[in-house]
Formats: sequence, C-alpha cells, structure tokens
Amino acid sequence: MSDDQGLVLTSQRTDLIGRLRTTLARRTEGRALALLVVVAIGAWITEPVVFTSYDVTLGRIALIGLVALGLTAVILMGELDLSVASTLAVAGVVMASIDNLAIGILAALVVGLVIGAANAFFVVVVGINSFIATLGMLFFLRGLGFVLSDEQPVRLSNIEAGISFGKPLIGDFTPRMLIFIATFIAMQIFMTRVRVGREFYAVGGNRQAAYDAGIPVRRRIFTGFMISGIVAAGAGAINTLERTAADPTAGSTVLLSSFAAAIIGGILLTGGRGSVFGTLLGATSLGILQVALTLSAVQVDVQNIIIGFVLFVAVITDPNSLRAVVGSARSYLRARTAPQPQS
Amino acid sequence: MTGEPRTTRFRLFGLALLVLGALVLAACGDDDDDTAASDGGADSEAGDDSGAAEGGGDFDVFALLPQGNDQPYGTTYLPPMEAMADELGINLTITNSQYDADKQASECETAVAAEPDLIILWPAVGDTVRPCLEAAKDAGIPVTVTNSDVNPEDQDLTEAYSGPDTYGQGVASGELMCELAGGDEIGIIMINGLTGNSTAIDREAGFEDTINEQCPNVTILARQPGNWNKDESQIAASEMITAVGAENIQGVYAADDTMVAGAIDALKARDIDPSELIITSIGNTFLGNPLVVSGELDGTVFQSSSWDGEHAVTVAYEVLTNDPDERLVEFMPSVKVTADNADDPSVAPEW
Amino acid sequence: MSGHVTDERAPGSGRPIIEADHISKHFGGVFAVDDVSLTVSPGEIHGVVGENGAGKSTLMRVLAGILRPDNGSVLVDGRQLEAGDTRAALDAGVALVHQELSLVPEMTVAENILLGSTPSQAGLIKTQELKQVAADALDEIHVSVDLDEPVVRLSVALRQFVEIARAVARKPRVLILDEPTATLTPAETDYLLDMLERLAERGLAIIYISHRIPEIFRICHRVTVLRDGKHVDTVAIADTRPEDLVDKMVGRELKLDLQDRREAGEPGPVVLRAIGIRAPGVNDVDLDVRAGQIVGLGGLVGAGRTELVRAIIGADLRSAGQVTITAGGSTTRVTSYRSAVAAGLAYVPEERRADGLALTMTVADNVALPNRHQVSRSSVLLVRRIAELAKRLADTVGLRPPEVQREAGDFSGGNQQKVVLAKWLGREPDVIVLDEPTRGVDVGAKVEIHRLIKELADTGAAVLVVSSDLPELLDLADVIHVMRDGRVVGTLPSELADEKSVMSLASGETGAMIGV
Repeated sequence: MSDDQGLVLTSQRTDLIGRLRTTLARRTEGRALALLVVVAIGAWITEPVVFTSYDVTLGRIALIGLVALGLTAVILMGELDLSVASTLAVAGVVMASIDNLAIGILAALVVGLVIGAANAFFVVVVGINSFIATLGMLFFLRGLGFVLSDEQPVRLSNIEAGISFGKPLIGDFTPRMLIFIATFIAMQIFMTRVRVGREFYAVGGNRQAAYDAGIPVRRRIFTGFMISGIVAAGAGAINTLERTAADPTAGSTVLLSSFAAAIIGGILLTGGRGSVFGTLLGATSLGILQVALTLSAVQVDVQNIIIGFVLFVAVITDPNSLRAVVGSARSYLRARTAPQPQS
Repeated sequence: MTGEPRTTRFRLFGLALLVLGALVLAACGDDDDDTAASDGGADSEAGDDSGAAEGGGDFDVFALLPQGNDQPYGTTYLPPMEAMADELGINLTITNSQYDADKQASECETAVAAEPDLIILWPAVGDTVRPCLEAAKDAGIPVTVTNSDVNPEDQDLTEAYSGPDTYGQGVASGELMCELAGGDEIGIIMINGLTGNSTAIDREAGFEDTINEQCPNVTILARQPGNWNKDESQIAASEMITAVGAENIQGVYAADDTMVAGAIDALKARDIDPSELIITSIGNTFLGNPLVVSGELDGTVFQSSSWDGEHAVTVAYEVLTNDPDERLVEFMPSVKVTADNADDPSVAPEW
Repeated sequence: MSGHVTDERAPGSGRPIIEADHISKHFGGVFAVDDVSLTVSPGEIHGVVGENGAGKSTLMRVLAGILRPDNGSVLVDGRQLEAGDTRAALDAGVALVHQELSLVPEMTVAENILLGSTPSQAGLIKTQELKQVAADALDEIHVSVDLDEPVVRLSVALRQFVEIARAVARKPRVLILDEPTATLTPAETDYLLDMLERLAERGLAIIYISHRIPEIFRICHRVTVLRDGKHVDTVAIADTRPEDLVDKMVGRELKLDLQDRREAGEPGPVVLRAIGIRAPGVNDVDLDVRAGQIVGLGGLVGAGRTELVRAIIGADLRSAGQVTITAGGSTTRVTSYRSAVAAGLAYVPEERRADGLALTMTVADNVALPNRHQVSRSSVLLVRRIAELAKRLADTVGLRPPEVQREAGDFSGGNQQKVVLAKWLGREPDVIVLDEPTRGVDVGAKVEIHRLIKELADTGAAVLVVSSDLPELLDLADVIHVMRDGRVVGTLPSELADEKSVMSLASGETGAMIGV
C-alpha cells in the first residue's frame, strides 16, 4: 500500500554524467588522485626530469610502494604491521647468507611468511594488540638481523647477478618495477575479485558482523599478516639483489614511507576502507614528490616537513574529518558571537 | 654553545613556517599549485638541469651524502663544502639518505638521470654502492668519494678519494699512547667502533700495529666494541675493568671521543681518577676537546669536518678540470691534540 | 519453503516450526532469561514485549544460536538445534535481524546481503550470481537499492532493509526481528510492517520484538510478555487490549520504595532552564529544573533522553535552543560543557567506565580531578589535601571498602558509581545531571545512591535524572517527563505517576498528554 513511499534509492541517475558521478562518489581514492595530480603538475613545472627520466621515478615508486602494497592487506583489516621494515632487513640478510641465489630468495620469502604467521599468532591467538605485537617483532627482528649478519653488511656471493638484476629487463623496466607492477595487479585482483580478499573488508569494517556471518576471521587475519610478511621479504630480496649486499640496518626509512603511502592513498588506519589502487596512488605521489625534491636539492629535513604536510592534507580532507572541523569551528564561532547575558 | 642551537632552531622553524605558508597558499589556490611544495624549499640552486652548464667553468655536481644537518658532523661539513663549491663555480645538489642504503641507491639513480658533470659519493653502506658506481660509469659520469672510501675492488670505478686516513688516525693515536707511556710496562683496555664497520677496523689496525712496532711495552689487556655510542662504551669499559681488575689498567684507548667520554665515566664510577691513566682517542670533538683541556683525556686526533667538506669539492674540481690519470687520494692530516695545543685555534673543535 | 499451511484457520494454531523449550540464561548472578518457553507456527507473526532488560534480546540470541543457554533447548521442526551454533541455526532456517546494525559499511549492498556465503568458484567471486541472489532477496521485500552502492552511503532506513534482505536471502523459515523500527520514520515503519505481513502470508514464521504497542496490535497474531527474564503470558492479540498488555509488562505491585517516596518540599526558583532544544534525536524540548527539585526523564531506549541531556549540558552540539543556569544570583548561558561546569553543573554520564572514571587512577586522584582548586596551591597538587578531601567524600557516599588509595577499577560497579558521585559532591554543584545512576549496581548500593541523590536535592541542588528503571524514577523524581521519538510526550507529577502511566506514555499506547 505504500510501495511508492520514497523507499527507492533516488541517487541512481542513469545518464552518463550521473553514472560517472556515482562511481566517483563511491570510490575512496578520489582524494589520493587529486593529490597525485597536484603533485605531478608541481613536479612537471619545477623538475621535468621527474617525467623525462620516468624510469628513475618508477624505481623510487616501486621502492616505496612494494612494502605498502602488502601492508594494505593488514591495514584494511584494522590491524597494523610495524615489523615490515625489519622483515625486509632480516629477509635480505638470510638471502645473502645463502650461497645459492635461488635457494636464498626462496628462504627469504619463507622467512617473510613465518614472520607474518608469528605476528598473526600473537594478535589472534595470544590476543595482543597488533601495534604492540608487531612493535615487539620489529625490535626482535632488528636484533636478529644484527646477530645473523654479525653486525655488518653481508655481500652477495654472486655480485654479477645482482648487478644485472638492477638493469632494465623489458624496455626501461627493471625487474623491480615489473615485480612491483605484478604485485599490484595480483593484490588488486585479490582484494576486489577473490572472496577471501573481499572478506578482509568485512573483518576490518565490522568485525562482529564478520564473525556473525560465519567468516573465519582468525584465518583471514593470518592470511593478511602473511601477505604483508612475504611482500616485505620480497622487497628485502630485491633490495639485496640490486645493492649486491644485505644491510642489517636496511629499511630505516621504509616503515614510515610505506605507512605514509597507504594513508595518502586513503586507507583508513582503523580498517575497512581503502583500496590497493589507493595505495598505488599514494606511493606514486610520494615517489614523485621525493624525486622532485631530491632534484631540487631540498634538504631531507625539509622534505620530511613537506611529506608530513601532504600526509596531513590527505588525512584532514577526509570528508568525515572535514565535517568535524567545520562543525567544531561553527560551534566555536557561535559560542563566541552569542550575546552573553549578565554573567 | 647555548646560543648556537637556538639560532639553528629559529632558522629551521622559520624555514618550516615558510614552507607551510607556501603549501597553505598552494592548497587554497585549489589547482595549479603544490608546485610551491618544491619551490618553497628549493630556492637555493635547483641546478636548472643538465645540458645548460658546460659554459664558463660552471659544473653541475650531485653530492650523495648519508647525513646532513641531522648530525653534528654533517652540520659542520656542509657549509665549507657549499662555500668552496660557490667559489669554484660548482652547482651542488646535495642529498641525505640518512644511512639508508636503498634510499641512497635510489638517489644515485635520480642523480644519474639528472646527468650532472660529476657525482660526489659518501657511501651510506660501503658494500652496497657497486651498482651505483656502475650506473654512473655507464652514463659517463665520474664519481669521487668523500669521508669513507669504497671497498678496494670498487675503487677503480671512482676517480678520487678525500677524507680521513682512518688507518693513519689509529696510527696517530697509537703514537700518542707510546709517547705518553714512555717505555713503562703498562696494560690498557681498548674500545672499538661498530664491529665490521670499515672505519672501526682501520683505526683498530692502525692503533694496534703502531703499538706492536713502536712500544711493545704497552699491552692490550682486553678489547670490546662500544658501537660509537657513549652508553654502550661505558658498559663495555665497566665490564673490562671488572674482568681484568682495575689495578692492572694504566691506560685506555677508544676509537672516538664519544666512546672515550663513556669510558671516562665508567672509570669515575669506580672511583678511579682518569687523569692518572693514559687515555687516547680520535676526534677532537666538542665532547673530546674539553676533556683534553681538563686533563682527563691525554690525547686525541683531530678529524676536521670542515676540511672534509671542503676537500670533497676541491678534489672533485681537480677531477673535473684536470682529469688525472691516476686515482686521486687526498688524506686529511692526522693532527695530534694534547694538553699542549688543545687551546690552539687551528685545532678548535668543529663538531 | 516447506509450507504446511494447509490449515486455513488463524495462523499460530498450526504445528510449531520453532520451539523454545524452558530456556534459561544468566549473566553473572542475574538471570537474563529464566525458564521461558515459546512456540511459533509457520505464517504466524509472534510479538515479544517487555520492559528494558526483560530478557527479550537475550532470548532471541539464544534462538539464533549466538548464545548458548544454561538450560533448555531450541527445536526447529521438532529437531533439537546444536546449542550456541550460529551456523546450525542458519542452516535450520533461523535468521536474526540484529538490533544494532551488523553491516560492513564499505562493502556493497550485494556483498553485504551475501556476507559469509558469497558465491565463488576457485576463490573468485561469481559476480553475476552474487548480484542475482541479492536482487532476488531485495525483490522479495519489495525494496529497490543499487546493488553496487556501498552501504555507508545508504540512509539508516535503507540499511535496515538491507539487513532484512540479508536474512531473507538465506531462505529462512523463521525470521526474528529485534526492534527493527527503532530508527525508522512512520512511513518507513508502515512499509516494513506491510512487508512482514506479506512474508508471513507466504508461510514464514516471524518473531517480532518491539516496544511499540500499536505495532504489535497491528501485525501480530499472538504476543508473549516477558518481565524480569520470566515468561508472564502468551495471548492471542484478538483476546487482549493494549492496557492489559502494559499491565502485564509492568506487573509489579507497588514497591516498598514508594513508602519512603520523597516528600517534595516547596521547590525553589528555576535553576536550569532549557528552551526549544533540538539536536540529533531530540525534537523541540522545553525543560525546567528548580532548586531542591528532582526531575526525572523517563522513556524507552532510543527515545532521545541521553541525547537531550547531553545537548542541554553542552556536551553535544545542539542545532537550536537555549540553556541557562541561574545560581548564586547570576544567570549563565550554557554554550559549551565547560561553561556549564563553570556555572555549577555536574554531570554523571551513563557510561561511567568510559566517561566518568579513570579506572587506573586511585579513588583519591579521581575525586581530585574536578576539585583541583581545593587541593592545589599555585597549580601544584597537594597530596595531603587530596587524601583528606577524598576521605571525607568517601565517608559521605559510604564507599566500601573505604580505601581511597586503591585504583578505581578495583571497586564494584556500585562503589565506582559512588566515586563518580563523590567527585562531583566535592564541588557542591548547583545542578546535577545523572544518566542511569544505578545501572549495573547491586541493590544495597542502589539504596545508598538514592539516599545521596535525595540529600543533594534537600540541600538545594537542582537534580535531573535519566533512568530506564521505572521504580527508581518513581522513587526519586518529583516530576517525570516521559520522552518518545525525541519529544516529551507527557509530564507526570509524582502523585499521578505510576509504572503504568509512564509505560503507556513511553510505548505510545496513549498519545495524549496527561495534565501537569
């Protein structure tokens, strides 16, 4: 009797522009994309080399972005993995310590999986908050890296293989970039088309609902941490190959920049919102920014200030944050302008 | 002392404000904007690109450093470097990888892409610079090394080295020890730098070789790494004192002033007067020099950050203008500093 | 759908599809559900009513296999369900639409409808099938939503319907809805009720929980009344009247409490005055509290009481309205929580663990928090004065054990609440606002807290109390305002107020204002 009571969602416009607008509004990457455009235009004007030598820029993006791609899986579930940078270092050391390159790489990846599983074990089974669990893992692995390497860089036994690994393989693309692109495609498919990956969003967005719906939440968390671990270990193997040596102190700047890439990409740290594509955009913005600033001889301290500012902009332009800011500003102003009766 | 950090802080703060202001303006101006991000800080010398230079002796040079104003050494290394570059007509683009080898490698790729006339490299991790050197070589860009040399097998990929003679510094500190011991049979303890670090290895070898050759009457009773860190050095020293017995120790060698300060604290904590012992180290820093003046530290070896920064540029200039056939090596003179000359302006501490 | 609906008589008389057999469930020492039985037949809409805390939601969670009962069993089609197994309940055809929404905000409508049972092949999601099943479920409840829309972009009402579609998509034989209309507008409610009737006509058994008596009378065939976890009665709707239902819900004889019901003295001048308050969940409310008066705010959960109180004291934003506090000869306009506190207001929030107490600090330090000026000299806290003040206040409120140097978290719920009161007593507030002051508190502590609140009023404070506990409200308040849907729907002076009159107003069984 009241079928036409306005219960049909009216936001569905069927013309092209309407559809486009709906699609855009649904995406979480809008702000990351806008930021990327801004950064790219800025870089184009000041340092065109960023684009003429795009292979260098791409290399930097791949350096920052690879770890961030794996991290995205964990963050989307509302957990944190602070151990990624140390995982990278330890995996590199393990790999360089093994003479056979193939076995070394395999061992590095296994190390990543084991570390991921250990993180998940502490979070899921023991029930430690993931910030604390992975912070502990960070310190443990950093120490382990030093012990395994005897506190000095471990040189690859096959240095020539390493050096050729750093050379372009197809066109201008080095193996690192190709691996990065492949990882991105794999993660993108996993998080959008594969059931397990989609359920990560449920685990992060409404964990109780995920439990109630019969999703094996613990197993999903294990999977997420293991993805993060193996991707970080893979990045460690790539770094070790390209540098021809594994440095136990490696990754000192990786942790912050990979989190920064995810945040700039619009991933909500409390989970449930964001996308792998967003992380790619975030890493791209950050990579272009860093290369441009390096070319402009901006000091690293100032670079950090600028990156911090970009991060800040990325976070406060979140519609929710903006609403909160506007709301509190309005109530403040109202309180100020309201006449004060005799007090 | 108090005035200096404050002005730095003010300057940094001002700079931060400037950049933030530029960014805010940019963000408000909606679209064509974040440019200001790079503009704001880049007003120095953006080295506006490759091909332009070549003309009147102007050179574009990238300096890939692992530290900058974030470390005391880098803070006093940079100004003489920049001043000398200005004088010689060199456009410097300086990067700081914060000792992250991967970041330095990426900066190296960036530098190669910018096609400068030369790259000055201070390796973040010596073992990892080979690909960078090869990339530069492939692009026909000469590389000179500053502060810490690359591994021997990589040296033929570089044109020059300038910086401290780490072995020679150990030798100088050893000579000081020998002079002060004056033929007496004494036992000393030794605190070294980070295990595996090339500077630590060289200094240890230089010191030990000198002792063995010139004064076998000095015996090294125990040695431990202090990891360039004051606290760790204090712990290491304390352990060694316990292990060999305070009464057997007449001297201390530490591989730098920071660690020697830790060792002196350890001695004091055991009620041992450090001025009674023969103590030598390397550095002559703001920490070490006053210890020499007060007599707690008997001798140290001056490592001049300004010399280091300046000569990084002069050696690069030499390579650019004269293209020498041989690999150029310019060692920093290892000036000994004792109570006699510690007040001398020529050895005023720099970092 | 196995429809044994050959029986054309009134629904509810057929063979039951679901049976709750002597279910008991307790939390701590309290029985939330105490030996309750219930049967529902295919095609029947079975209402479940009761006051807040009567055990309705607990019973439903047992039926849906979320909670494992201490005693008794659930039978579907005569077969006993594995206790506490959500999957088994779902497989047997029991679907629960939760009271609090359990959707994943960033996932699409289609994904939410099939959450946990997404059709997939070799790990890959079968998008076409996913959308088809979701679309069918939405069709079945006659709701049209874009399947690709993330749920976060839907209105609250649409989310509620998606939630129902999710239950329907599982092809249930028993559908349980726990207060589905709490957040809906009248038009949306209307639509929902029609939809449920249609579903029932097709043989679905529906268990419908609501506080709203008119809804129960509109769609239910039979209704079960719970009170204090116990089964009171199950009656056919045709055989009962709204007033009788309310009687059964309230049930209690007049309580002993009423004997020491407060002799309200002559109330003083108006201290707290709120005019035209509007805020999310609050619709144009006026309110006065006088010195020495205790004003009660009654109503059901979700009626907007807490929202009103927080808007009045400035803790949440109001969209309209003015609040003034007149004390000590001056009138202050409340523009923020700070200004309210500065004007002499004290607020004891509902979530005392979250808002009212720092559990890891000692009682003394907690008490010192709002009394910084008394215990400090030139902003240095004086430990001895803190201890003295805490000791004195702990005695006043009867803290047990009276050890003020223990962490607040070590105390029982009732004593924690005493600490919260003690905090504010130290300031001798002119206005004190209490939200659910005795929730989760044992009886002994409850009596003492009531005594304290009355003493506060006797010393001239203006007191505003929100409570879902009717006897408490009746015991304390001089005047009771009853709220429903964000409005004050009735005001009862204490001599006219009883449980029935308050409940009728709160549940909307009587709409008319009862005179002031």
